[in-house]
Amino acid sequence: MKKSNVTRKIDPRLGLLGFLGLLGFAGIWTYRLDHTVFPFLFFGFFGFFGFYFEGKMSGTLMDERFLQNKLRAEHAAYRIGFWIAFFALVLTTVNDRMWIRLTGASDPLWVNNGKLLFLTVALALAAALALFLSQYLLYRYDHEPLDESEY
Amino acid sequence: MDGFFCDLKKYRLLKGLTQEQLAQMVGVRRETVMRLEKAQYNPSLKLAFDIAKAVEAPIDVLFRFED
Repeated sequence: MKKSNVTRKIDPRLGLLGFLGLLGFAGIWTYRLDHTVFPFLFFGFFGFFGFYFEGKMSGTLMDERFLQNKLRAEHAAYRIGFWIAFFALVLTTVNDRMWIRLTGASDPLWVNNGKLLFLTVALALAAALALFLSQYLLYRYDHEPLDESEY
Repeated sequence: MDGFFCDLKKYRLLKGLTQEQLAQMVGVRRETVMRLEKAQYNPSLKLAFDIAKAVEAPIDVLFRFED
């Protein structure tokens, strides 16, 4: 099958799906109910805001400049996402006493639950940020204003 | 882009081509040709060769790097 050299057609209004990320706040309720942290993963849906910028670039011919900008944008976005995830992981590996000092938690049971909750939220937000930034930066790089002063 | 010079516009106009026509001939977008003409994009060797062929001008005349 021949690969298309045009970006996929997407309605920029699909970016509104990013508001699904608000479902992540349901985690506060479920956590209080039975310590379920899974719904916090829905914060990852904030990444769908990137559809807005992808939609604005629908049907664009992917020439070499576009592909270069795409690599540049993805590199920057994934690097930021990776470092957020990495620092979140480092923070959760500190010993319990330091964690209690950092968070002010008094209940020892809260320590591991708190770490899990923190890591879940941080990873979901890192993924969302990486997804969004890869599209936003691509749009920005591709639409950098021409510097008229050089000619 | 420092030290990069491009004389594409002159040779394109000599050939009587529009930016859109040249872009189609070499398989890029018009914006890419625009940025090339303003020396704000450094093309790949293949694109540089394709453009040189399209406007029938030597590649070293079209694109120059100076310190």
